[in-house]
Amino acid sequence: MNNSTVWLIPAIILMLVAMGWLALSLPGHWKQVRSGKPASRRLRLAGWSAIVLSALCCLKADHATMAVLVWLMLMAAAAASVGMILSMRPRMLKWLSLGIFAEEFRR
Amino acid sequence: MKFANTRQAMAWLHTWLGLIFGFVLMICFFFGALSVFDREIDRWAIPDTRFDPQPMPSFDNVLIDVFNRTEPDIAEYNRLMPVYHDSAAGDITPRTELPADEYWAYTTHRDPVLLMGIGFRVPKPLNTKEHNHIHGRATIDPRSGEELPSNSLKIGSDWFYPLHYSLNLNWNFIGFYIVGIAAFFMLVALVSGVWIHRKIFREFFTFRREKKTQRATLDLHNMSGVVALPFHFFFALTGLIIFAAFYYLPVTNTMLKPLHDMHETMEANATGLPHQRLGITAQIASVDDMVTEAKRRWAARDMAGEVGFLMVHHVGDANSYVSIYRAGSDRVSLVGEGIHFKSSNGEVLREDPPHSTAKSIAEFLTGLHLQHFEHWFLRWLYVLGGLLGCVCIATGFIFFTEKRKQQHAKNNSQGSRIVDAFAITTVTGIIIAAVSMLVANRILPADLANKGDWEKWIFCIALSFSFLHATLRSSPVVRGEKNPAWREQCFIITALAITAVTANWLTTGDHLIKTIFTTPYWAVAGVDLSLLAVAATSWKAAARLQSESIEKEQSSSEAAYE
Amino acid sequence: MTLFWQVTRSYVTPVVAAFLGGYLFTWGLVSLLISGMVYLGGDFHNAETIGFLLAFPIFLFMFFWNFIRQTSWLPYVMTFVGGAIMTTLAYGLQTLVIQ
Repeated sequence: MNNSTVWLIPAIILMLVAMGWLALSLPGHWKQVRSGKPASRRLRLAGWSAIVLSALCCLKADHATMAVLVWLMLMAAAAASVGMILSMRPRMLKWLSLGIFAEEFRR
Repeated sequence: MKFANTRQAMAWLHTWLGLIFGFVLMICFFFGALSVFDREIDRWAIPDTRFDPQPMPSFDNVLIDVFNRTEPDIAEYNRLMPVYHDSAAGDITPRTELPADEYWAYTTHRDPVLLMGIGFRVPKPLNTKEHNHIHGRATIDPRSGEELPSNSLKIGSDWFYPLHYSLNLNWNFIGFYIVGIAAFFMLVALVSGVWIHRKIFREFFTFRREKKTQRATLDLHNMSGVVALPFHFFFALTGLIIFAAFYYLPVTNTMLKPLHDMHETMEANATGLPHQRLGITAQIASVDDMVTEAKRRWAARDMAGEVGFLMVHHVGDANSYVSIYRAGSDRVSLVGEGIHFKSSNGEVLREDPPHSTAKSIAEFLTGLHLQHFEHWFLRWLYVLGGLLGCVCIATGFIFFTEKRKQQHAKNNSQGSRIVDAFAITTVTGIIIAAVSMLVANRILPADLANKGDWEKWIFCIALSFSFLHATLRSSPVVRGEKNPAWREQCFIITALAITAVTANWLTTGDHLIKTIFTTPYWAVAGVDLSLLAVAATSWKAAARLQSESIEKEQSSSEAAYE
Repeated sequence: MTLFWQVTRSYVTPVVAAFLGGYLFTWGLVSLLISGMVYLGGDFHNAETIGFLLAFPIFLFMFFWNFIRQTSWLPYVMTFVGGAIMTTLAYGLQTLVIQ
């Protein structure tokens, strides 16, 4: 394990957070976590930003060609993990449903 | 025709071609996923080779002796010699007297053992234009140069790995073609699947396990298909590209072969690498010096590395040259940066230039499938991708029968019953076969003659057993109920996986505490841990199916009582 | 037995025809691409690689086109006749190059 490999850790965390936010942007999944409605556009923006940040971390960790593969496969793994969490223990994602992502916050 | 619209045609293609080719694709995906760790499975199966990966050993001190004593393969000689030899030119050359024409040695960053091969030439060939090679192979311990016992089978790289692209059906390459056609229809199923599902984004995260089996299965089918869509698409596509030139689109090996041959000769003139033997004997200079020079040149290009592949062409001839390729452990594309030396004096004949754009794209695509790189995390992500593919196909089978079995029960049709039995064979059956093989590997005595063949037989017998069992227990499906074979085979997997881990401990002394903590050896620990994970998962699945069937029995007996 | 023939005629035949047609078209196109590029002075292996990269997406597209537009003759003519013509042309070009 060389030094740059450490960057994979933030890449993984960011991707999980990103997928969590993207999932919560759907009203159905938001309702599994807390009441009310999500600010979908804001959540999606946050989600995509985290995906981009995760990509940057992947680029720091590996040669660019390899980073693309890690990033794409990480997306699959993170999406599947978030899907499984929502299916089994949706409450685990509560910490991602920050107040600013709730629709009532805008009013 | 009878499709009202494109969507219906797509749905039909997805359902039926997905079903038929799904049985083959299960094998490709599952054993493909295992092949990501083929070398590690080899270590588990051949305890003598449980030591650290080694660099390419000295050619002058170690390899040349092995090459000198390796003989042509008996079976291949008997099969091909009569074809290649020109009986009009004289007597057939005895097997052990065939002269060597090329040597090669191959290793990766995960290989403790070294794979070596020789192409022997036929002195009096019928067709002088062809290579006419008869091969010999050896796997050695690079530290000593000693050969591995020939009765041991590399279960990972010589059985699971070829299984995923050839089904190990080698008669006329029939297995390659079946897999190729299945891979093409995998692409068809993916495109048609995306076409018929409109809400892709929502399907990313939706798995409603509390709903009816049919609905929950469809959720899981969509999710596993969609989240790893790039993986599924590119692995099917790159698999086709890898074999395109030889099997799937052999344009340049058949119709355009004259063009290909002309180019070969032209290329040989342009590169200065001789295409043919000259016919004058010559000695070989120190190959170790050439390796040192090659490493120096790679380092000068800022890509220092080890030797992955080494080849001597036209052995013993004045035209002989040595090609040295770099192990591609730090990048995706399998390029090699080959450097070629004249054998007789070690002079550099040529350095391979950087490749064209098209070639680089192709090398990236094939490289991402063949994974020579050193990246353990990505390897595990690939395993996950492969298993998601299996989940996608398996849930496809279950959805197919769930949707139809009530209807079939009413019509007294056997359709769901047959599909379900095949599904059991390709879902739990292939796991039973794979784990049985590992158990057999540990239980059969190490010095048993043809031990590898026994293991192959046990794999096939276990798979047939699974199919027979699934068929014999399938009658409930006709009444619209679940086949108990699902549950029973899950129990069998649990028992086998635990047996395999225990047998490994008892026969080699490598238990998990040792392989993880005291003297870490992750190849064996990884296989053991994966087997335990399989045992736990299948136990959970079996227990769940069991309680479901008991509940059902109780509710039906209560209904009868009332 | 009538059911068997019905299924064969209305389902199996279109799939097989679309598959074979798509394959023949791809074969023709790839061989024409390779021999054409070499004829025009391109590198053989480069042409071969481009051919293999394009082959399967094209095959996939032609398969779908043939299968979905079953009632129309155009896709069949295009794939079977077009494929045959391109193959012949490729063969002819090769003969020219080799001379």
